[in-house]
Amino acid sequence: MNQEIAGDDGHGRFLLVRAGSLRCALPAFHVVRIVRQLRCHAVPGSRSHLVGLAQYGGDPLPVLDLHVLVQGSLSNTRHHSTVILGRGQERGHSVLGLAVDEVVRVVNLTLGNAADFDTTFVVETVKFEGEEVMVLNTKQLLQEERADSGAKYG
Amino acid sequence: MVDSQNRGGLEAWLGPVMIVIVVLVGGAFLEATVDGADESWFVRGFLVIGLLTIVGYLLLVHFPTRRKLRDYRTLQLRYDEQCEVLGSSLDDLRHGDLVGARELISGLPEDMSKAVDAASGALAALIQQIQSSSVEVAIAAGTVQRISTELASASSQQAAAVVEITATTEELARTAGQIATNASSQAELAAHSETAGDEGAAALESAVSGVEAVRQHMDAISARADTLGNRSREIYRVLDLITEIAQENHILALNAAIEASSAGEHGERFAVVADEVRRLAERSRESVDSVRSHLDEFVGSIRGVVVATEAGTKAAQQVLEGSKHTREAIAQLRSALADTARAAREISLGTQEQGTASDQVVLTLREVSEVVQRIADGLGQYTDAAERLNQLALSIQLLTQSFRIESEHSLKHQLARWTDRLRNHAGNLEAVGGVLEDLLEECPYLELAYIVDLAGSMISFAANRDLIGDREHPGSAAVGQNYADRPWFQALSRDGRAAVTPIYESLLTGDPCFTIAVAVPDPDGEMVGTLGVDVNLMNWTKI
Repeated sequence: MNQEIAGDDGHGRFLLVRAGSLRCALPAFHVVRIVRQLRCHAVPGSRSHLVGLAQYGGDPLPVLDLHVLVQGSLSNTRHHSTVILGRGQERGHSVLGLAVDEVVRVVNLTLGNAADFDTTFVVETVKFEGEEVMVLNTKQLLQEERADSGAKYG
Repeated sequence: MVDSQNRGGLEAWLGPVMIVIVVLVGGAFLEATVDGADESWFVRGFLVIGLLTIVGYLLLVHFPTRRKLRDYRTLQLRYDEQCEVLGSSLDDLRHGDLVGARELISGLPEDMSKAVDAASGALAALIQQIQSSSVEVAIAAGTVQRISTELASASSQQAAAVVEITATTEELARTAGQIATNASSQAELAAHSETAGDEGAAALESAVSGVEAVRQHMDAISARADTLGNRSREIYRVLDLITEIAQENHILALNAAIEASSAGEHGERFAVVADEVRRLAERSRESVDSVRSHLDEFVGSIRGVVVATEAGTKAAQQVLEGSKHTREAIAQLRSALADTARAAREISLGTQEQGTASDQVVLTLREVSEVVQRIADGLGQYTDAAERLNQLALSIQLLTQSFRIESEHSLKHQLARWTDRLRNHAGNLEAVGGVLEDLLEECPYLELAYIVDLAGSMISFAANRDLIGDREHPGSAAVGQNYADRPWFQALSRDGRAAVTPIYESLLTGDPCFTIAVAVPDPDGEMVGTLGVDVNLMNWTKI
């Protein structure tokens, strides 16, 4: 189990967000900042889950559509908020934004022992307050983004 | 005549014979008494003087007297002949044969002939005039009778119509009375309605004032609602600001919680504070949402108030406009009600006057009805008088037909002409029948024409089919039927003169008719038969 995300007992702090009808939990460790919706500039020929490029702290910030990213299809989402992921220890860590409809709050979740934060994007689906919440592997997402950024901008 | 002539001759010779006898007797007495010669010369002288006296008498008296007697006898004969002719002519006149009377006067002296001819002509002209006048009188009497009959009928119808008009007028008078009563009631109702219209107009004015006040209140409410709408928009802006602040707080709290989470155990207390801040932000947002919801309802209510106010204002405006129309309608209604009341009063007065006039009309109509009835009665008497006048004209016609004059209206004269044609066909019954048919064709007013022999037996006849039609002939109209007992035949056989019967009802047609019979002579003037015709009066008078 990844200690950055959850402890040995499976407990961890997650940022609960909503994208369309989906409720997702993002590891709080990877959340850099929560901002209101950023103004994005669309990138022609990009993947469908890429909303566009925003400017954050003087640097370009790729913003992804969480709903498309999870479901693979477009939905009627409002994208009121953008969750900026990052917080890597190494130098030149990647930063990306996730466009969500609502950022609910920071909650404590207990994951199963088999939670795999190395290979799968949706780590686990847990019940929270009677609703299913998909726990997302933001580490893999950041790694993929870093690889893409290296290929694209490096 | 011979005896008188002989007696005149003896009287003529008696004077000279007595003178001769006296002379001879005186001479013989003297010769017997005278002895001397001187006395014988005296006797001889006496005888000579006597003889000379006798000769002188014969020459101077006797022969002129005989000549005068002969002339007198001749005059006597002519006088007798003329008297006989005059008697015959006067006899013809007595029997009405003016044509025959004028035919005989050629033997009379010229003056007498002229006088008789003038008298006959004047009489014929008078008869012809009487005949024409009687025909005209008959025609006029028929016309008067027809017209008076029509007038009487029309008067009867008029009297009936007047009675109906009287009844209708009486009904009209009663109806007029009802109309007057109804009109009076209507006038009262119209007056009441006018009063009610005044009250309605006052109420309408009050209602209009109220509606005007309502409209003003509506305008004020609308203005207040607009103010509230503006205030609501400001509140919305404040709420948006609060919402934005709450969202910012929410994000700030989340970021704080993230930072607290990154701080590990050291950030737990801060995380609690951040969560409280987040809760406050969430409560602020919920409160703002609640306020927004209430504000939405409030704004919706205000919009409803605005819409209702506009609708109320529009309705009030419509009510005001309707009230104006209603005010005008009420004014017109009041005017119409006043006119109606006035008209109803006038109608009431007019119908009352009409009722009075109708009563007078009824009285007048009753008088008219009586007058018309009297006219009808008078026309009935007039019709009877015309009928009597017509009968009188027919009687005069018959009287004039008893004369034979040279006129186409003289049936005797016409029949005398036809007897001349029949004379030429004596013994030829077929030709006689043809002549009778021609007679009927020329004289369409004749029903029947027939020939009767001297024994009174009918030998030929012809009937007028135009008058008789398809009716059967009575038994009296047949060949071989004997008419010897008929008065006209007996009169004609007695004196050979034309006869006219009184009017009787025809057995053929049922119409009044009369018969004229004339003698049919042979070429020698001897009567060989009788030509009789039955004259239909209905058609004769028309002609």
